Amino acid sequence: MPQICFRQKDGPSQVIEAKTGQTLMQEALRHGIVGIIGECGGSCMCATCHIYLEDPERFGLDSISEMEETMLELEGEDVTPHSRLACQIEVSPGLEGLMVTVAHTTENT
Amino acid sequence: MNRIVIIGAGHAAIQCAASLRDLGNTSPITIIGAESDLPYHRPPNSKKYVVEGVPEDFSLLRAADFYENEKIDLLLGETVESVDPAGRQVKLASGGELGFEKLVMAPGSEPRTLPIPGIEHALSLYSLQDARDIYARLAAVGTVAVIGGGFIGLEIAAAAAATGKAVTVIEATPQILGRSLTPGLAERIRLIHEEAGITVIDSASVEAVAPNGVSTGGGFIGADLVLSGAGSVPRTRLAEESGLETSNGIEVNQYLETSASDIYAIGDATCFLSAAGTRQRYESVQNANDQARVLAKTLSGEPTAYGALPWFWSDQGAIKLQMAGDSGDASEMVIVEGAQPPQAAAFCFDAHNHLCALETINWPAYHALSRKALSDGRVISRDELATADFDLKAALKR
Repeated sequence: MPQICFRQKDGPSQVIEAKTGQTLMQEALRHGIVGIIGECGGSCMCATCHIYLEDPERFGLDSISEMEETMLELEGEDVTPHSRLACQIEVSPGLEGLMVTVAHTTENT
Repeated sequence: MNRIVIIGAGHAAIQCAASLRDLGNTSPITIIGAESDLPYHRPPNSKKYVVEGVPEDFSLLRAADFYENEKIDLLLGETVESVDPAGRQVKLASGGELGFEKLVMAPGSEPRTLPIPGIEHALSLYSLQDARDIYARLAAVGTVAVIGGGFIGLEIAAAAAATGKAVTVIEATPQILGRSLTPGLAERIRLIHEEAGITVIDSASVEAVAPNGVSTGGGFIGADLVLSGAGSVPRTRLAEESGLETSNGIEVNQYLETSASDIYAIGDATCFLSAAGTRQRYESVQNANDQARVLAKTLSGEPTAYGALPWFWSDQGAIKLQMAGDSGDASEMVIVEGAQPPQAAAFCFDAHNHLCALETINWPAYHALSRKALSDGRVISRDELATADFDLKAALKR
């Protein structure tokens, strides 16, 4: 169970022990990380689990799919080269020490 | 007493409570749900859980401690027996009573039960518990008959076929997905399922169900397990008994208010008045969440009309079907092939020849682009698209 740190844009951070084989979105949701909603349940149909990864190269993640890229494009100016959807990242032991910043600060109402 | 009582604990109910807190609404909130599982994501039931089983850590709508942290009372395994709109009270099946200042009805929909002999032998899917029950039976059988070629029926059929079951889908009309999708795309989806080994029988009237199969007008179809996916009906009983106006659902205006003051309804069960003045009812996660957000604003002092673009998706084996807009408004469509079969898109145009919906098979980029453009109210004419040879990306850049 790798330890992953979720940080809010405005400060507070929380380290969670993420279950291998689950998605980062599911694990963030299970630990109540603010700003991660996963409205579509992980079907890559919304962008309510938008995150920024620090140093993604270090963790050897799979490349981003066309579907994920398109959903992210719709986020407009909030998107950076470090943007990902947490539902499209599977937790593996190699993610130990990953730092994540949550893009949205609220429920997006 | 400024309590907000929410009846139901599905997507709409939980999103409404979450949005209320997000907007800084500090009213006491009570959510009453009939199921005993913590509120969960419903789509995986038919797409995944029926064939893989329901994991212990199934996908929750919010973390388990969310409700306590946000001071939301969550009454699970509890049902409302009656509502007294004038006295502003709900009576619980367990005996207690609860007063409210505002009442939100989010009861959802439930599978239609066909009025035919032996229907009790067919399992239907609605809840997480239904998914557990179907999984327990499915694992041990070789042949499966699915009554109804709608989204849920086809999702289960595709999932079961992928695990090696011999699956027959029995559809009453001439075309599967006939009421939900443009005919050209529905036909393609049928062919893809047939290539994957699913038998599709159309125009079949189901006359009776037995433990070992289904009797149709065209003969008996043997199956170890019969599933019924014959559409859904809105849960309106409580609203009716409370004297609220109902038709194809609980009737609400653009502000999601029912015919009784301070009683609102959101989600699958609502039949709402659209900006165009027609009555609409959608069964979808999008509709549930968007109505919930809009109502949370209204309940927090910012009256907001509902008018979100409908969108929907269905995962059926190798098919990812996505819809933006309502093709029911369309008078004409153009089907375009993608570069990677069976990739395809149906461009649906309204009476003014403006794009009103886009339905896609395995074309997420087009889905996303059309959803954004239509949500933003962008007018995309058929001529513009034709000039761009129906390359949506190119057309939108103009």
